[in-house]
Amino acid sequence: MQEDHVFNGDGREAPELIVRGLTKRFGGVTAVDDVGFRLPGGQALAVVGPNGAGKSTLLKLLAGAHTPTSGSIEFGGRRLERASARQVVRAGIALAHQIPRPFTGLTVWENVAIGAGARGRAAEEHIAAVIAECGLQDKMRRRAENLRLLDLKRLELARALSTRPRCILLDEVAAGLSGRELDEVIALIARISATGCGLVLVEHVEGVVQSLVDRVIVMDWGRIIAEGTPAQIAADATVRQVYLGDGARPRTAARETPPARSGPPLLRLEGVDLAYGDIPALRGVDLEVWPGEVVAVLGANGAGKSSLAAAISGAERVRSGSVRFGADDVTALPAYRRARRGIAHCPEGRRVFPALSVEENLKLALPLRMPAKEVAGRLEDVYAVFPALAEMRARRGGALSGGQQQMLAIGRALIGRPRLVVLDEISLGLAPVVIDGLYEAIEAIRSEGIAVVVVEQNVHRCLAVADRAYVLDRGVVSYAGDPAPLSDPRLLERLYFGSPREEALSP
Amino acid sequence: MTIPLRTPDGRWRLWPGLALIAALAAGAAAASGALGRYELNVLTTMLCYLVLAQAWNILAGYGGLISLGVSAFAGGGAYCVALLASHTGAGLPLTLGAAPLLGALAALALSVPLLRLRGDYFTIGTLAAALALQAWVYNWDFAGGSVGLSVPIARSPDLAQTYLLACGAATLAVGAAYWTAYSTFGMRLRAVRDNEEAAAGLGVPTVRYRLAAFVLCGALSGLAGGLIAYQQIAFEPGGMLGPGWSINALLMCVVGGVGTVAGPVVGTLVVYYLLTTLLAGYDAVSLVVEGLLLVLIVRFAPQGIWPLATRYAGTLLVRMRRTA
Repeated sequence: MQEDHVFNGDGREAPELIVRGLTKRFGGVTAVDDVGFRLPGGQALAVVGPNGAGKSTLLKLLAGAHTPTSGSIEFGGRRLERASARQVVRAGIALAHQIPRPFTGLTVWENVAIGAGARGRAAEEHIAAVIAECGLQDKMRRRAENLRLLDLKRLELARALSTRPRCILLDEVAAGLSGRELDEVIALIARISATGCGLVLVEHVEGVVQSLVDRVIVMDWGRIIAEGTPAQIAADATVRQVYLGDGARPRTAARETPPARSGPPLLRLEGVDLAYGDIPALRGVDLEVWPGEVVAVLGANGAGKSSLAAAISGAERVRSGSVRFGADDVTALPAYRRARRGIAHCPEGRRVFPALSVEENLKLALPLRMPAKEVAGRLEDVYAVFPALAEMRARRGGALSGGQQQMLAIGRALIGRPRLVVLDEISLGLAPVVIDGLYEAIEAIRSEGIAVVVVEQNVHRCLAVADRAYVLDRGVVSYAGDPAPLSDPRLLERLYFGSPREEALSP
Repeated sequence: MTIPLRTPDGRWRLWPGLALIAALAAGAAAASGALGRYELNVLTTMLCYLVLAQAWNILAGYGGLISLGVSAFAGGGAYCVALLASHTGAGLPLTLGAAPLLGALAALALSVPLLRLRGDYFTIGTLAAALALQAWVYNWDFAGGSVGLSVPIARSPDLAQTYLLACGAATLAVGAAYWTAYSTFGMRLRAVRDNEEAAAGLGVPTVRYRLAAFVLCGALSGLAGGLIAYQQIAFEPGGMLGPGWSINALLMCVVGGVGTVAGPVVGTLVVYYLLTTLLAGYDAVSLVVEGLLLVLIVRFAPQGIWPLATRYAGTLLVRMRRTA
């Protein structure tokens, strides 16, 4: 079967996408403000910018999910700004969402078949080809609700491809992926692009942008602030300031005071096993954290990082092994009692209460009977670490941007004056400049003498602040010790996916 | 050349199941001569319930729209039959043809306000529509008001004929549910259920699919109502337009398994035959057992009896093959 058949039903060259003066207002907020660009047929364009810049809204406008307030969208000579999502798909533009939203009750095959439309043998061949191209052929009988993240991303792409698009819009398809998984998705997108299908990409992962696109536009506050080749954009001073930050530069993380690792560790896990039903998540994990230390926990998707965080916080019961905190064995204690002893967990996905104000969100983590003066003092401590939160203390949690919500989630973990904080995937889906701010906060937390366990996909940021690092591979610790050697991507790759028993390294 | 029984992802294709359903229906119809009055009556009622349950199942299980307005369609069908038969002298084919038509039209009319609503609001909307219809009929003298209506006995089919008609209606309903489960229509309907926005983004006209499910449900419910009118002969709005039909249809689907074809069949058997009929003499016990059963199912088999049974049968088969 020819690849052209998979992606480009009619094999014709993809039409040009022309956007002029596109504007979208939600109430008083202008999410997209006078955006215009031309995407010649078959080329690839990246849209980057900080969180809340209007990138996703722009894609939704192009896909017909929102109707623009003004401006025009032209694709192959057809005007699409008033078209519904269905008509846009028929015209050949397909959108893959940031958060995969499969039809959970349908099999992988059916998920792809929805977009393929027609019936009969030809349609079945097309579906099979798309599924094979996206590497899902072994899972096509599975229900989408049982898929893991990488497969959900593949399915999201497969679903977009099923409609035989001639221009495909990808909203952060690489978010949450790392290492080999990331490379695989990049390769798939490159194959799609090579068939002459147009590509509009919204992405934070810098490597994805660099390797895939011809042009980049940078958005901030709904407007285009810069446009050019990937290299030009990387060198642009304005872009560095609003978006890239200094995180792109490797940091010299020389600490003034190396961690005093004297005395007993604050936290000690010994031989911890954890499983969900029959599926093991952690096997014989040993981990130690001393006071005032930042410990990085790295690993691929599904390696058990979040399970380790849950084992520390008590959110999940361990099957065997022990968890000691300070002088006590806390293995049998539930999460809330561990929290009272000083283990704070900031879970993945922020979990901010959207209807409560910033201050109410913070106060939730405090005991009911705390004197008002003490409460005020605790709040001030948090605001000292995150001054941005003080400015919006009365705002609803749901109205905050992603980065602000993450600050709030960390602040909520800190307000109980913990001795140990577990931060799970705090940089997920955030712009580099926002991540810089969060990592500065980690430094501030450490300087108070609080131990920090950072669970991360974002390896380089994480290693820059870590005193020690652990790498997990399929539930087993494959590396423990000095973070410096992990800057070598080859070693990291081997530790992420290698056979753990033979290659386990000790500090 | 082999004829493919299953799709590439391992689901059954349409025709083997439809053939099986037709065979079962023929068997049930052939048995009518051997049944006594009591059995005919019980089976007819059960088959009518099965039609209502399957109609509810198509809308809720595959379309994701939970309706508490079954009585609006079933009662509408019953009133349509009784009014037509007593006022125009229309015969059986015409009246029974008009009942599902009225159900479909009622669904079409109600879809204008109701299909704008989602989730709980749709459910409350359907309940409000059903109660409004009941309140209106109570005060509508032409339709008998609170006394109700009766179908002229002379023009009603006898017990065996009603049973055969119910067999036909049940075949239609199970066939429609099976079609919904295994056709492209059903696949797209389930996609709309799981994520309406994403389905629209893939080119599925979502409103049309939800409307189709609603109208299909209305037509089947109307047909069941028409048959119930012929079976009961006389009825009043308190029962015929009350919420009991909705609750029974919901109960049967939940007990048997929402979103499966066999689930409502199992649920109708369990709820109607085991609970209502076998325990008919012990009203209090029947209610207690019914409540207990529902609690147990919601706690231990929230997907219903049928999915639980097939899963156990599957594991058992695998084990037997391993030991063999």
